[in-house]
Amino acid sequence: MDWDWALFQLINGWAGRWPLLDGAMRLLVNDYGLTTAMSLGLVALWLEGRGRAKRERNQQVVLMTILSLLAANLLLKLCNTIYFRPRPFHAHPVNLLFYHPTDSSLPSNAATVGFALAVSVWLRNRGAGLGFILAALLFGSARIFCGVHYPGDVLAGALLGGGVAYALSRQSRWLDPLFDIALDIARRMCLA
Amino acid sequence: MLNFVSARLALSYLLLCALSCIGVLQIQAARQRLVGLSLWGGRGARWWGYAAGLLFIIGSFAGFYAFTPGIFVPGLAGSELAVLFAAGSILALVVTLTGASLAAPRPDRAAMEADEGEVVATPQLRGWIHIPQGSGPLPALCLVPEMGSSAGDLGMVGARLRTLGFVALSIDWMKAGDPWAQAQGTLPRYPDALALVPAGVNYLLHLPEVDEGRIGVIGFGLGGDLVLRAAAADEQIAAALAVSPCLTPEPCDPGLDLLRNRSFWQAVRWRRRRKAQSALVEQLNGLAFLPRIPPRPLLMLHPPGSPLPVPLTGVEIRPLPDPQMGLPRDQEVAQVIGCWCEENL
Repeated sequence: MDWDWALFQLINGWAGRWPLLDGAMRLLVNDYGLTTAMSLGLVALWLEGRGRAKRERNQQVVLMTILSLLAANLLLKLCNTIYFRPRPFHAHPVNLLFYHPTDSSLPSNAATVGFALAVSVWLRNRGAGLGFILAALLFGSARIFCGVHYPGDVLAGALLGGGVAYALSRQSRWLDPLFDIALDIARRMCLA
Repeated sequence: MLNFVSARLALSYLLLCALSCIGVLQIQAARQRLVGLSLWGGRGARWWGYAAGLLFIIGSFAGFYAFTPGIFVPGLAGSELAVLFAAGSILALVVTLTGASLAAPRPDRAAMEADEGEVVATPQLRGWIHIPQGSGPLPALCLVPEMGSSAGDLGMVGARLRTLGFVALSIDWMKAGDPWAQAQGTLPRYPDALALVPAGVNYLLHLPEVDEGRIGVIGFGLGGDLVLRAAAADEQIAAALAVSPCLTPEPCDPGLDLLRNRSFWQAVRWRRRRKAQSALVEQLNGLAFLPRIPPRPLLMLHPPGSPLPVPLTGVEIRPLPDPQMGLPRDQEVAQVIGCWCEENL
């Protein structure tokens, strides 16, 4: 995939030039920063909303997002078992700012998780969803910048995560009653 | 199977999740005005909550990146991160709810005692009365608190009504001369509970300061159901006001809204009491007695978040001034009560 390699070179070519940019990208690319920040966003969303109806809508978004994450991760594992793509640093000289991951490059785990979360929120809450999509885009771009994914991996991850989130959102007729039960339990504990 | 790589890394990440989650809870406690989640009891300006929350979040991330080795080498995988984040969130919730319970503002006992007025204790009722200075005849009100609350909790409303020129009698749910209730430490059951408001009205009627034609009743929570029943049966009641009456045995569960003005443990107790009183709510059936109330000023203050079980006619319905429960210590609720009584009695 020439376009993939060409785009990778364009983005990864910026790595190693400015220590400040490299440092910022290292903070974004690691497994802890953005994933934790996005999860904290879900905690905030759970409590967001003046009035019961608004809050309940946001809480349904959070439950749907958790479900999307679980489903996207399952599909990701399935993809990894049937297809293996080597990382860019295995086949080419790259500016690597991260450790050497050993799992398949395609689809990108980070993009799958990030976009499953972001699209799930965006479909029901555009305002909050925009922030999550921005975070997912940053997460995916940082993976390319630091040399651990091809752009195609990130695109595939985004399609997988976003697709799962979209497909599940179309099943709200079946899922909403389940969410209502979960919310009722939480409400009894004064937590919803 | 989960592989946490190193105990230090896992513990550091757990700490990051817990502390940053406490930060998020503090920001949302300030933003949504949730006293039950606020580590400083919701006192002071909201920006304190935002500042403290940001400090928790930034501090926890800075500490994690500064003092945790192995962040940029292969470490925790997605499932481990998810488990640790869930554990950290639960830890943060427990710490926040416990801390907020300790920090929750306590009722100002001294102020309440100053507001309590004079004690009334007869074989039929027990409570407090506020009588204004000056000569009568004066309009009078009989106040019934929420089930399980004491008449002393209505001190602020009573004192306010006194300043407006009303005689205000706040009655306790537990009767002074009721050996069964005193022995059990419990509250009157149906139909004994129906005697509470008539006893209060009767007491007021025998006071020389009171104008017999201007007696009103005010009830909070289940006390509201009691005054609706009393207003349907007693022609001498000139006006009735029910603040957040129960009306149906299974009222809308306020859930998180309970934490707006009480700590988590107070909310748990409130729920338990609400459950216990549901049998009495069903027996009182205030909703069925509403149409039987003769034409007279009738107001219901209802929490805006919870819909009424049926459309009601012949009763003025206003939202509670603040989307909190109709606590009699709420200044805005007391103000609405005062204004309405001045207009209608």
